Amino acid sequence: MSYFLISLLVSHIFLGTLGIVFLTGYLLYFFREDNLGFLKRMSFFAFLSFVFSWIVGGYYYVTYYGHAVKPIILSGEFPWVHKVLMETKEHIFLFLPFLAFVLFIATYFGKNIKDDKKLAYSYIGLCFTTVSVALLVTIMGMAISGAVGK
Amino acid sequence: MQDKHSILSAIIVSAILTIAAIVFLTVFGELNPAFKTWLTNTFSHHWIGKSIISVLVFLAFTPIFYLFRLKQISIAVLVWILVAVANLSFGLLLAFFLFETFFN
Repeated sequence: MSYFLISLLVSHIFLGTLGIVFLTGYLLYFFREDNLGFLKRMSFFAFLSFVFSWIVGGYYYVTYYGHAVKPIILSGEFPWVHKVLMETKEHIFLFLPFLAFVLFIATYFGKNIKDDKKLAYSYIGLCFTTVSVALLVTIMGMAISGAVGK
Repeated sequence: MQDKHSILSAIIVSAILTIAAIVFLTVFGELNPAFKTWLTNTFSHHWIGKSIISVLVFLAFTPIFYLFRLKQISIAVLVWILVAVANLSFGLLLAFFLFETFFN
């Protein structure tokens, strides 16, 4: 694998993890006073992180994974890792930019988040779901990496 | 403020439909090899096809639902529907690939 592709794979993991960190910051600081600007920034940076992770990870997946990594996993001891985990991961990853975008726009327009508890808890639910999906994608990615050459 | 409500409602409903579209494209592509081949031939890779179509679905539905002015439904309800659809879609795709791998 070339250094270019390695850097893409590392960037994909780094940017996805960064998105998780931004959204975790969003959750932790949600109920603090005068933090709407912080929440807007966290949700915006999470959205950007997932978009760029999508692009660099997609380039790696399309140009390298399919012909170089997938056959190794399929001929190894754990072919189900590709058939189940990778197939699920590559498609549920597509949810993340849209979920993060909704969270950002909702926060951007949400002047009365703190006053409206129903609205606040729905934003927390959305953020928690986005973080959970991103974490599961990360864990699946770890399993896929671990299955190469086994 | 009402205009913001309409914009946000349209974006949330479009995201719900986009996630549903991703699930449909994925499952239909696996069950119908001709469709998956069409995606590959048209977009160079089936995954790129799904990515581009999902963005187009989102961009197309947002102005349409903005025109509908969905003011009767609260933002909190729409967000919870999005959360439910995202979680169900995740479970559906995982269950589908588990079934395809171990029981088909």
